[in-house]
Amino acid sequence: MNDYLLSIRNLVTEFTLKKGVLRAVDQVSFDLRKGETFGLVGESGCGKSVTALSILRLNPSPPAQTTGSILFEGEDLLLKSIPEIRNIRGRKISMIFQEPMTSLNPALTIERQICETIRLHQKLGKKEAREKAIDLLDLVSIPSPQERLKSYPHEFSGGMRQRVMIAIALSCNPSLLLADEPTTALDVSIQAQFLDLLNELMERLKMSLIYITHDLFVISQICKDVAVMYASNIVEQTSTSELFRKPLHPYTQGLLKSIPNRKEKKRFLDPIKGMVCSLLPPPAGCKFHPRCADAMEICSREKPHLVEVEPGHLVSCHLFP
Amino acid sequence: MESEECLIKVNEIGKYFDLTKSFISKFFLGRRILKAVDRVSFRIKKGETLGLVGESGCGKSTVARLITRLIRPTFGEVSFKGIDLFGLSGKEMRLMRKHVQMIFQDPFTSLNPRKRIETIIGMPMEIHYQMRGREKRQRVLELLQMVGMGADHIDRYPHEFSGGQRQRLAIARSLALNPDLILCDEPVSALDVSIQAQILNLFRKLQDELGLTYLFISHDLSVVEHISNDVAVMYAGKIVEFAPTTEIFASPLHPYTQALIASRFGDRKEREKYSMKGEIISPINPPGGCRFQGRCPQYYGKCSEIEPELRDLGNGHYVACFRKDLES
Repeated sequence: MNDYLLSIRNLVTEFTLKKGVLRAVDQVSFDLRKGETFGLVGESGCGKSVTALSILRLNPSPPAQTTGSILFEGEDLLLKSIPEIRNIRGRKISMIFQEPMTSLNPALTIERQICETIRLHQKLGKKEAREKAIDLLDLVSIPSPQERLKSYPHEFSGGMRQRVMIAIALSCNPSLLLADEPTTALDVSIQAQFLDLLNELMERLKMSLIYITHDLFVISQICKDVAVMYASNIVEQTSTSELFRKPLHPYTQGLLKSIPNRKEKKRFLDPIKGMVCSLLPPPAGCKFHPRCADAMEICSREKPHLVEVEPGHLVSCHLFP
Repeated sequence: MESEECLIKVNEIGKYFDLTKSFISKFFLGRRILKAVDRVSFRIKKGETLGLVGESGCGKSTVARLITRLIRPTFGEVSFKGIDLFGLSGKEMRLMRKHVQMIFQDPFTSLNPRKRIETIIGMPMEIHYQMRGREKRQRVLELLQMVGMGADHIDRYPHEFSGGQRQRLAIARSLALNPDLILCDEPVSALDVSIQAQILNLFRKLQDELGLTYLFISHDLSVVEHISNDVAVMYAGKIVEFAPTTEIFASPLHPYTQALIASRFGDRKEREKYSMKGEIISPINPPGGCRFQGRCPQYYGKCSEIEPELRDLGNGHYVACFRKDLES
């Protein structure tokens, strides 16, 4: 039990809005071992990004309120003071975001931006920080790093900017990296390059990774374990290979059927009917029941719990009591 | 590319943007010409779908905008039902737009937030057929039903709908004038997977029922493979490969197509085999020869000297490449 790097239990994040209380993350629990990669997959608004932001306590509070426990290296992040959590952000846990252009400051050279993080957390001189920055750019395969340090973000292409973002994220050798849709804004070929680079870095640096995406294909490329989220709950959690081989939750099955299948070509796809439910207020019972083809009477009454159906395969559905 | 029942034939169209700012910069820096679309040709048969794929900035949206003449072409001709669209006067073109409609990527910006759905979908009928009142409302209701929306949606505003519903509304508007051809510019890219599948099914259903012809622009290869009869691959303003869908996905010939398909569907080994170096070239004053030369794993001397043209390799497979094994 103690070899977990990160252990999240009953995480609830709520936003108090004028219209009521919106529960964006509802009773989410999962564990992550050192050096492993964990994927959070789901459609927009399902709470996957808020989960990551909750880990770093980046949700604006108020209106956000987070309860539960997030044990990182044995200590609860939710109990830390602001200076303590600041010391963890960027040093032990760092994050890369979806849109590299808006996460970099357009008015500063990337040297300033990389060195800022390094010098904030490590006692290094200007020169040493600069050398470290060059090493980092080299690590993320940016050609001629020495010259590129003086460049501004607009002088980089999207793929290169995302590499600069990883360089900043890796600058203090964090033990956990949170990646929030880092390849969504990139073209397919650049995306593949980026994923190969990330895979290589994970192996080399023995880091743990939480990878957030809506793209099941990307999950299959990079994650060992995966949790599928729907309307702020985890509905299914297992190893990636198992998820693709034998999806159990009707929502996961629907998602997989929504992607055109290369092997058995059909004229019409078999999508999930309807659309994502409102969370203000959420439907009673299982939140997926209004869209579920297998819905039973109990589904609209009682909320299912995440239970281990097979070893290592957790599902939250009344079909699997 | 000759064929009988083609609804539209696009013949060597091009769009150059002159970025030269002033006489002085022209003198010192020379002319800066952005070749967004450079001699692009294709044809779409009636009732079929052509998928146009390529990475961002390769000119695929510009092609759609040229066909509808939302931007002025630099050269070329587009023959639609035998009429040259580029030769029409502004007034004639406006009448022609009845038959050629467009759907845009982002349904949040393509619907006027201050108008009700009835006005948005009814507007084209008002302009082209002077349809008003009950008759118009009736037709809007019909269209809403056709795209799977309820009659109670007619008096609402766009902000009351989700992304998928808005894209349905945009589709309803494009159908309002019974067009023959619909140019779809990344119509499902902004949508979630489960909604994307619903919209793709809707496109299929409408094609079956109304005999529509689509130009389907997308960067998502699985979507294009699902929906298209033929696929054209664009790179830096040029079409580099054109073939029937099953053919192009089973045996892609251009190194760029190979790399694209490997990076989406291949495993790591395949990706390495076909990997491209570097990034997409700037279309401003492109170098002579093949535009892909700097990234191509199969590059040799000839590629930087002559520009490869699309040529037919039989069974409708066209490729613009000097690969040695294709040369003989």
